Amino acid sequence: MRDPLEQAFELLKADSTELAPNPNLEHKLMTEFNRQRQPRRWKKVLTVLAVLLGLTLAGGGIAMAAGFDPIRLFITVNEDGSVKTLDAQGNPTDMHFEIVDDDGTTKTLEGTLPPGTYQLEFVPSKPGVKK
Amino acid sequence: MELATLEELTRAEHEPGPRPTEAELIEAAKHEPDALSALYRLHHGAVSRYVMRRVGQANTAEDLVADVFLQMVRYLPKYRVGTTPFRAWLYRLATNRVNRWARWQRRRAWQVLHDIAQHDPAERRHDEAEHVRASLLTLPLHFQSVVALHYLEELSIAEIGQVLGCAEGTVKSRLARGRELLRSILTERDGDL
Repeated sequence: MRDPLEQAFELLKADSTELAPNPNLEHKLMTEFNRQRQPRRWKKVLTVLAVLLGLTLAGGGIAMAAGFDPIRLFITVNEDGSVKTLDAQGNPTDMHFEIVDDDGTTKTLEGTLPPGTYQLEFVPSKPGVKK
Repeated sequence: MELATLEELTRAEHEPGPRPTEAELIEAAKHEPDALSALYRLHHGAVSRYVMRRVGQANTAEDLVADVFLQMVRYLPKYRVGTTPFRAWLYRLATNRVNRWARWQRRRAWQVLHDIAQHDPAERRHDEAEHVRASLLTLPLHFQSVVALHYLEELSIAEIGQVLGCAEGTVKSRLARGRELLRSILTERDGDL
């Protein structure tokens, strides 16, 4: 004898029909799909704007901080005329010692300083103007 | 993974030949409306059949199926291929939606069973399916889901575990308990015959 439960469910399965795909529902799904995409695009734009704003603020902060602190370099001119440069932390640097005047002429420091240790201060000014 | 283009997906629907895999279709449906339509049409039959079997009324079933697919559109971007199988994921959405509806139907189900018991025995034969459905609706929800998925949708214990997100042992015990409860409700009525 068959399980009455299985028989009962066979009845239920035979009685139930499948619904036909509904074009209205499909249209609704597309509307929802577009609605879903909309805020995501805005979210993306807002994220980019937030990142740009963050970078600007951070950059501004760094510029402010650096702008008021001169960059210090130490130059040691040896007896043989060779020049050794160190930054404020004592690390060697690869700085060129050419000074470009406003009229475009250049001057080099090498060989013009007597032996000894010198401290240079680079105070930031308008961008593009070298001191 | 390389995704199928929309053109490939559309062509696959109308032409014989290699079809995009389900994973490709799902990934494409996250960005392409036509792929989403294809995904809807692919699964509409199974989802609507399941909901219809549990609910019994076409109008209500249509509303619930619409909710299930709207949920699918909302949560599809979060669905990850390779985790829960997509069909099981859809059954989960459908089960949750039907359970929310069924929560308010238990009293009505008892009323239906009572009404059927008042009918003429000859007439009762026409009420069989409704009787089974109403009996199922009187069960606690966690038993209803397991019994319906097993007997109506013929899912295995492992598959039901995937749908409900619970261990196979839990599914087995719920199935055994739900089956006994349902059997007692059904045989009680048969005893009245």
